[in-house]
Amino acid sequence: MKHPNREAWVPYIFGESSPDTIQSLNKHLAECAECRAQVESWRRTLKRLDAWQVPARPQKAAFVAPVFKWAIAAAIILGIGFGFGRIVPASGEAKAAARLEASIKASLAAQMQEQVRQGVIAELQHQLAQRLVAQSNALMALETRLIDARKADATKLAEELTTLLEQQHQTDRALTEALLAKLQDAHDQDLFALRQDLETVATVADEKLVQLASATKLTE
Amino acid sequence: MFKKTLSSLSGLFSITDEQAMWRVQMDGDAQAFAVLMERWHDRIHGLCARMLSNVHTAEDIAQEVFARVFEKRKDYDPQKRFSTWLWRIAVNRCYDELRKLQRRQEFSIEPDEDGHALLPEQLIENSSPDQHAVQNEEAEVIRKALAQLPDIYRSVLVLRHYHGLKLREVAEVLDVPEGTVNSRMAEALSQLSRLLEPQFPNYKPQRTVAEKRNREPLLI
Repeated sequence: MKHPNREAWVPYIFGESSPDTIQSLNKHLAECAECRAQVESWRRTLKRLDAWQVPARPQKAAFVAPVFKWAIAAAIILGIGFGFGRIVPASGEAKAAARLEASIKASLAAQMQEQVRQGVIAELQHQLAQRLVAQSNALMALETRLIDARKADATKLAEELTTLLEQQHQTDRALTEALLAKLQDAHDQDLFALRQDLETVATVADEKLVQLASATKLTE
Repeated sequence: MFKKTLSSLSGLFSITDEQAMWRVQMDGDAQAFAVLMERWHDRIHGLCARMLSNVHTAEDIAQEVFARVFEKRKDYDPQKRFSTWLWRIAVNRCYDELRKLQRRQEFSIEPDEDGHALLPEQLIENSSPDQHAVQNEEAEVIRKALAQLPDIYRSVLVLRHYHGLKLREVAEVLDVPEGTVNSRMAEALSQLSRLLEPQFPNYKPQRTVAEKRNREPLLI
């Protein structure tokens, strides 16, 4: 029997195969105990993986809990009041008492509602402030890390710049020295040519003087 | 004032990850970055915890992941999904951390036949602070078995099974072809099954009603 590639079972067990592929693989599974055992083993393994859950951060629960705490307290108090009102008998005096009680209850309920509302707002503000402080701390930590990273970058850049300047300096020095040597050569050559010219002038002058002396003697 | 603060916060909380990241990229918007951290911290922490097999180290690494996100904000391509970019940074940071742990002298672990070094055994055994965090003995067995998988196999399993990414998305995050993800997953599941089956000899998976209804009759 020709088995499908082992990789073909991966999209199948995760429910990502096309309907045609699922149909053909189902057909194969119906006939092949070996592949069936493998697929079942993988499914058991995946199911077992759920046993390890990473604990979530506690902040979320802490954010919700105080709101619920106030809501539950308010519900209990209102419930007791409502139950008490239902139990008391409705005679004439009792009716007056009930009216008084109702007015007190309404006043108390309003006060309680206000207290609960203020409590919830205070709690929300407190939680929000805590969260903002935590986020601000996290951002400050991030900023510190980034500053460190930038400092490291700046040091590295300065080192690179120093090396580059040093290299440039050496190149400049070599060029200047070469130029000076070239100038010296040119100067030496000029001096040599000048000396030669002077010697030629002197020789010619000597010859002219000798010729002039001879001519003077002949005249006399 | 409280209402104003709440409304400005709710405006921020309704933007998409990509919009928030765009604000971070363009203006270094700290509030938008805080929103992204709030949304993603638990998932990134979960990934790091499962990749490193240590909940407490994972907290530091998750912080570093967000530091890196902020640092590399200019590299983010707004045309692509933020989640893919974030998962990739997180997985790569975990790989770096695992390599760092394996380079330490006290962890002299030989690589397997594929050249992938295994998570140091001492790291698995010495993580006693985590032991109270796992729910029961089975969870501890799973944690240790996952830690014994080579990191490239563990990453595909963690991303697909625990974080619900599609196989195609896992391929995008890891920047490998989908076929590679499938073959790594097949190997991961086979190795994990070999590790876990002997630990639960009498294990009979409890099938839910939905599974009974949806699954083909031969898969019992």
